[in-house]
Parts: sequence; C-alpha cells; structure tokens
Amino acid sequence: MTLLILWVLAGPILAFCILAVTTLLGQPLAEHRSALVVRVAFFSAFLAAFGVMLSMVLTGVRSEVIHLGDWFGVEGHHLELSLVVDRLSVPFTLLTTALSGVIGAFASRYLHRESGFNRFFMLLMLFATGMLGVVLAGSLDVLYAGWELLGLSSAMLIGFFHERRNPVLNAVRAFVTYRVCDVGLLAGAVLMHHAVGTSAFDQIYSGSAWPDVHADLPDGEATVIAGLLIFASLGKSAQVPLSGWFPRAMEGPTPSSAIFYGALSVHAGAYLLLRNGALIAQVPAAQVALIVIGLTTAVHATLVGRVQSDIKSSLAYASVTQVGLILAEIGFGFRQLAVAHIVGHALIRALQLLRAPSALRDRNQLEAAVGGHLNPTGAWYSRILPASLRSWLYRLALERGYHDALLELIVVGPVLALLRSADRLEQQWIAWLAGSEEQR
Amino acid sequence: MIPLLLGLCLLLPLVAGLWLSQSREEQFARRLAASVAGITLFSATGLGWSWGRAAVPVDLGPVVAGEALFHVDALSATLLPYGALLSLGVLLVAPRQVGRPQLYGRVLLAEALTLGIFSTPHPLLFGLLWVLSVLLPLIDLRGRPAGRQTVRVVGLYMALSALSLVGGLVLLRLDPSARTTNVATLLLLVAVMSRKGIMPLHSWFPEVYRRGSLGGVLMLTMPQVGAYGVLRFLVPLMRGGDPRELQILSVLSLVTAAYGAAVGLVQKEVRPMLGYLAMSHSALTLAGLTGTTPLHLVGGLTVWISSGLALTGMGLTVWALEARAGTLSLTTASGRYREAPLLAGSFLFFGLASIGFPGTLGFVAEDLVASAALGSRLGTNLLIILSSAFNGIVVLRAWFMIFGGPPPQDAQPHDLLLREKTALYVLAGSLLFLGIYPDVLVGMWEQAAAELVHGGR
Repeated sequence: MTLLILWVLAGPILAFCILAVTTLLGQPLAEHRSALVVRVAFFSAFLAAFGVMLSMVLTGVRSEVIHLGDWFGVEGHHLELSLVVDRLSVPFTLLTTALSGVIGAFASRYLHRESGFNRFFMLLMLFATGMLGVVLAGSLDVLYAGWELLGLSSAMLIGFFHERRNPVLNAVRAFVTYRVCDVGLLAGAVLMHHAVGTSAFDQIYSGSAWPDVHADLPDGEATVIAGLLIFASLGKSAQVPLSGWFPRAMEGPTPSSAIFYGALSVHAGAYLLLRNGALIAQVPAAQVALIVIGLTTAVHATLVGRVQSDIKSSLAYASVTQVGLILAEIGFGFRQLAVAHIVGHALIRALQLLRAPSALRDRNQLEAAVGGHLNPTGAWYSRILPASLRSWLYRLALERGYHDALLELIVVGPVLALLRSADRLEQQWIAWLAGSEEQR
Repeated sequence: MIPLLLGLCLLLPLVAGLWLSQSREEQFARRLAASVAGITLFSATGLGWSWGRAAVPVDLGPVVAGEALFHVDALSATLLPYGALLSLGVLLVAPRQVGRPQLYGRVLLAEALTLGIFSTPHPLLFGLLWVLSVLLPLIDLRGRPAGRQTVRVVGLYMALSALSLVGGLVLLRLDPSARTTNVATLLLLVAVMSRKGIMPLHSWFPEVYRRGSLGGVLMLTMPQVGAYGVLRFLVPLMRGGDPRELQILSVLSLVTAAYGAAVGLVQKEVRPMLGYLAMSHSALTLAGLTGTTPLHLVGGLTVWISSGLALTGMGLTVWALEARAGTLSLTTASGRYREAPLLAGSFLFFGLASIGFPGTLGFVAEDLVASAALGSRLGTNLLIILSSAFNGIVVLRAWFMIFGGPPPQDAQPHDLLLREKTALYVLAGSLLFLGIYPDVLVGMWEQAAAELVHGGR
C-alpha cells in the first residue's frame, strides 16, 4: 500500500522535475516527448491509485495512515509526513489522476505550437502534486503544503497568456483571494495545535474510519477552528461573497479551466470541509453557516450565470452553483452524498468545459437533428416572477450581486487607503530627515 | 585546519579588497574579486564541514582583555559559508556598467567585515567591525543620484546604531552590575533595532533599497549582523533572567514584519517593494531569535538563512533585470517576460522561496517559526500569519506586474550571462537542497541554540 501511494505522488513530481530541468538547461523537450512524459506519469499514477482501491476492497481495510517519518525536527517540534488512505481520499485520488491524465492528453493537442506548451504541463504537474497532497494529507500541516501548490499553479495558469493585460490582472486578483483565505487554513492549523497538540487527522478525530469519525474538541476552540476552515474553503471554492475572481479565472487555457474550475480545484474547499466534517458536525453554528453560505451562493450563481454572454463564464457560474449545493449538503451532514455529488459534478463539468470551444457547433448539430430551435431554459422565471422584480433581478445578476463593488468599498478600498497613507508618511519623514524640499 | 581556513576566510577578501579599491582595470578586477570570493566560499564551507566533524567550539586568535578574538562554534560554522555565498553572488551578478573596479573591492571588504563579525564573540572587535561595516555602503551611496540625502538619512540611523552598540558594549565591559546591565541592554536593543530596521527605527530600510546600489544594499542588509549581535550579546544577558526586553523586541519585530509586508503591497516600484519585503523578513528573523527556547532560536536562524538566500536571489535578479530594462515599475504590467524568461523564472522561484513555498528552505522556516509561536499569545501567531499572507501577495503581484502584460515593442530576448546563471543557480540550488534535506543545517543550529540558551557564549 505504501509503495503504491508513493508511486501515485511520484508520478507527477518526477514528470515536473523532468520538464523543469530540461527547460532550465535550455533543452526543453519537444511537444510529443512532453506529452509522452505526462501520459506515462498520469497513467502510472492512476494505475497505482486503482491498485490502492483494489487492495482496500480485497483486504477490507477501510482506513490506513501511512507514516513516512519526520521531514525535519527540533526538540519540541517534528514535522511528520503522514498520508491517509480511506473512503474519502481514494475516490479523490482516482478522480485527480484520471481527470489530470485526460486533460493532459486533450491539452497536448489543444495547445499544439503554443509558446507556453511546456510551461502549461509543468504547471499541470504542480497542480496535480498539490491536489494529491491535499487529498492524501494525513494532517493539516501536510494539507497546507498541497494547498499552497494549488493556489500558485491556479494563479499561474489564469495568467498563462501573460502577454495580455487582463489575464495578468485576473491572476493577481485570484491569488489575492486565495492568499487571504489561506490565512484561515494556516490559523486553523495553528489553533488545532493549540487545542489538541497536533494537526494529524487520526489523532484529532476518533472513530473507526471516515465518515464514521467524531471530534471531541473544546467547544470554544472547535467553533473558531470550524469558522476558520470554512473561511479557507470560501476562497478556493468561490463562495459568496468571494466568488468575484471565479469567472475572471476563465482567462486561462480551456483545459486548465476544465481541470481547475470545473473538476478539481473548485472542490478543494469542499474536500477540506469533508475531511474535517466531524468538526463541522460538532459545531451547529458552523453547520448553519455552511448551509446559508452554500444555498446563498447557489441562488446567486444560478441567477448570475443566466445573464452571462460567454460559455465559459456561464459554465463557471454553473460550477459555483453546484459547489454551493455541495457545501450545503456538508452542512446538513450528508457527507457521502457530497462525495458522490462532487465526483459526478467534476466529470460532467470537465467534459462541458472541454467541449466549450465547440459549443456553437454542438448546438447547431442538435438543432439540425431535432429540426428546429431548442427550447430556451429558464422560461418559468417569467411566469412566476412579476416584471418589476424580473428587471431588478436582471440588473442584480448583470452586476454579479454587487459583491465586488461592496468588497471594494468596504474592505479593499479602506485598507489600501490606509496603507498608502502610511507609505506617504514614511516618505515625508524620510524627506524631512534628508532635508530635501524636492522629495517632500 | 580550522585556523588556516578561518585565516583564509578573513584575510583573503580583506587583502584583495584593499588592493582592488585602487584598481583601474574593470575586467581584471571582476575576475580577481570573483576568484577570491569563490576561494573564500570554498574555505568557509570547508571550515563548516571540518568543524561539524568534531562539533566542539574552538577559541582562535590572540587573547585581548581576557577573551580570544575569534571563536568558531555551530553558529559561526554555518554563518561563514552563508556570508561568503552572498558576496560571491553579488560579485558574479554585478552589471558591467556599474562595475567600477572600486565596487568589487568594496564588496570584498564588506565580505571580510561580515565574516569577521560572524566569527567573533569579542565585544570590542565586534563593535569595531560593526562600525566599519556601515561605512562602506555610505561611501557607495555618495556616488548615486540623490545619494547625499540618502547618505544623511542612512547615516543618521547607522550612527545611532553604532553609538548605541559601542555604548552598550563598553558599559557591559566596565561595570557588570545589574543597573548598568539594564542600561547596556537598552542601548544594545536600540543598536539592533536601528541596524535591522525594526519599528520605529525602520525608515532607512526601504529608502536605502530605493536609492542605493543593489549590490551594496544587499551586502549591508542580507548578512543581518544585527541578528548575530542579538545571539552573541543579548540572548546570553537574558539567560536565566526576566527576558522582558526580549519580549518587547519580539513584539516590535512582529509588528514590523506585518507592517513591512502590508506597506509592500502599495509600492509603485520594485526597489522599495524589495526593501519592505526584506524589512519584513529581517523583523521575522529577529522575532524568532528573541524567543527563549531552542525551537524559537532554530526557527529564527532558519528564517535568517532562507530569507537571506531567497531575497539575495530576488535582489540579484532585479539587478540583472534593471541592467537590461531600466527602472521597474509596478503600476502597470510591463511585459518583461519575453525579454528575460530565465529572469522571470528566477524572480518567481526566489520570491516563492522567500514566502515559504514547499520544497524550499522557506517552508521549513515558516513551519518552525509558526510552531515556535504556538505557545505564545494568539496575537503573535496572527501577526506571523498576516506577514506571510501579505508577503505572498507582494511577491506574486510584483511578478505579474514586471513580467506580465504586453511586451514593449522593441523587446529583444536577453539571455543570462554564464556568471549570472552560476550565481542564481547556486543560490537556488542551496535553497532547494536545504529545503529537501533541512536536517543538514537544523541539527547544527539546534546545537548552537542549546549552547546559547543553556550556556556557552
């Protein structure tokens, strides 16, 4: 089991190293060789993951923690590398390796002769390593390392077409959202150490195996940690009010949009909450918050998605809608349903996003096949809603619920103004010290 | 073997530096300086390795006022290669147009002073080298545009730092009574705060990055000799007593770390951004070193080395890029990727290493500092987390603003020179190697921390 799990992780890591080293040495691999490396890496990783699942089924083992030893340690602190193999991590591992492999194969043709061909695959490998790190992590510390890789690879792929201004600005925006929300995860991990002296899942939660595990943290700490973990998941999963970056992330190449925002990365927040589902279940306030946030996001995203004028934004909001529902399911305590929902949603949405460039052609073919126009969706809105409310909702949806404007007005603007004032004061102080009229 | 290697580390750059200060031929000066720095790095690494085999502190050099001038222990054995590596990097990357022969001489002299500081526990020699080490950057600054005003600002802070240090050390030496020790401690605190840019004595830090030659600035700020002063003179003073002064310094350091990272977010040019980033990391180092347990000290030491290597790499990348593209603005996306893809990769790697990216020494540093802070107040943890979050945004924003966006119409790809590649690859390799096998250093630092906390120098 240990060897198989290590091989799952080694596949993308080795492929990343091969692509990075050859590029650094000024001898980047030719396209077909890069594609081959990627295919071999993901295929072997998938086979290993499949082997893990088979071994669990045959042996009846429901959960196993693999201790790889200490990475480093000082008296009073050791960072232990531990991985967990159970009914939550294995489906996600299979999903990650399978979808990454499919996307890799698709992208090797889609990005043919693109100048950043090898860069894309390096970032895809980095992403896969991060995602596998998140899903296999045996502790919040290890999970955080994978989480960081996810954030970075996501931002770099949004800004993949870096010679255009918009992708660059959108990548910065997405990364800022990630980083702010990462504070929640890091603070949650630190508090977890404070509360129970460890962040290893097998020591925090008692019980036989996921999902039949229970948390027994002190109430105060449990509430704060649950709140922090929910906050961390809001950024990655683009929930209200932090969903503004999500449609902008569609500036990246379509294969990366499919794997990140249709299939895997967008569910990382949900995974974090599922892994800590026992803690959420211990705190009713956290459950209520998740249900409210999830349902609000679902309503918001379905409304906004209906007024988008491009297919990728439309699909992005459709993704957010489903993730909102998944979070609500976790809030209600339906953890296994949430896993099934995630797997189904990831597969269908990745397919839709990969087909997005051919959407018009697909529609024309369908219309030709049925011999007329397809029925428009959402017509029931006009039957049940009064006209004045419809136009108000339309306006609200066009402005994406004014979330970005409100955040800018209430949070970002004042903080930046404060920091600029501090910077101005610093410069005035320096000018005074220097006795320079010009600098003042 | 150790005395010979230490002699080479100290004398070779000193003699070559003095000689090159008079040199007129640029290419010869660069080659000689780089060779000397290379040999010094080799000697320093050899010294560290030799010391590690026996792992016994050694007194060296003449005895002055009852104390040997030099002392090699776990702390010195790891810091000497670090200081030598920084100097070699600066010499290899120094762009030709600013490469006046005198610059190479000054870098070597700065290296000799830094390595001298890292190998002495003697207060008098330490004070002398500290004062001399601030004079070199001031000479360098005088030749820069608007340099005179900056010399005045930096000179004021450095004078405060030097006077406080000398006053503190002299007081300690003359009268070791409790009352005098308190005054001396306060003076040493002021010296360290002004040298390391801790609030409220921090304003010179971004300013010197804004106006100084990056090579000189990196040699002034990256060795972090103030941190060495804390370990050698302040931590032992507090041993077994009430470390209230260290707690105050710790709080101020954490506030500075968060403040530097936050103000770095609104910078409009790369250099002050780099200055605030360096200020934030310098403060974070000090926050670790002012702790009272080995875990705190090891955390601080790890941040010291990892941020020093990473920010030196970033600074050298910016220096190389400025030599090709001029001043770098952060207000619009400048599209420099096409001109310098390797520099883009280098900036990103070192930036990520500085913010604790997994696989680099920065991740180990972040983990150790966060773990060390676990027993502290919640506010301490929050400030560390905020610093980390803000610094991450600063780095990525800078990368996208420098390298993203439409390329200039006349953009031509500039490959990196072999010497630049060598410097950047060695720094990056060190960060990666130590990130994957941190126990190579962490073990030695644990010993150094134990000596500092429980006894010894």
